[in-house]
Amino acid sequence: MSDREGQVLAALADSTRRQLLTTLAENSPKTATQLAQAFPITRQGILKHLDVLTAAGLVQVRPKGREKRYWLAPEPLQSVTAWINAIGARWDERLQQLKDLVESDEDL
Amino acid sequence: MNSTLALERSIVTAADGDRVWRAITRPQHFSRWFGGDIRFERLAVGEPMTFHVGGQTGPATIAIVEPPERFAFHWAAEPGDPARTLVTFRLETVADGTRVTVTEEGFEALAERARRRRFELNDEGWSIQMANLAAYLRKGEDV
Repeated sequence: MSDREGQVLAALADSTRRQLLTTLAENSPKTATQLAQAFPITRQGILKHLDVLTAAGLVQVRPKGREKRYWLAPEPLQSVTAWINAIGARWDERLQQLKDLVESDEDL
Repeated sequence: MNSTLALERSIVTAADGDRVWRAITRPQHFSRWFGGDIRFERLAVGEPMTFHVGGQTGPATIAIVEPPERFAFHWAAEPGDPARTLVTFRLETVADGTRVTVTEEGFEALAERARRRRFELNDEGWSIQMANLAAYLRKGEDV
């Protein structure tokens, strides 16, 4: 796992941040004020989470007038998903080997 | 930090549940299909396990023993990393035999240390949809 994946995983480890990503995935861009209306936390709280997501590269921010607008940036999810998929692929192999063993006529 | 990042895989085998249970909870059988040398003395919660796989050794601890349905252990998902993920096997009787489901969860525990480590992941560059991620965020819903 690379540094970037670690940072992405850490960003994803919080349920509010995952919900923020899901919200932005459905509809980007949004301002912190708009996001705060959809979440039971303050705009300040939303901004803190957006900072973590921005640092992990999962959200891009662009100024627009008086407020910043936030976009989902899904690219960093690719390497994390690839990493988890690689672990999943190993489990697929092992489960197939388990199946082969239990379906053999060996004494277990 | 709540548990969030999990993966789940399952397979259906014609074998009955008791046979599958023995295959996953007896070290000599476990070692065979897992592809390594897995050791533990007793099948009991808290019992230490050792995984020798591919030239590397990792510790684990048995977390759940509920025959013939659930077996789980905490292990080092990354060699040399003290952070553990939880691996759970669930056995269900189905019409065709037994469904074996393995889940591995708690990957976010690896995040902090991984930040300090450096090795390149082979990035295939394929693209994914946000929807694909949802499968890994099964536990992400607030309750």
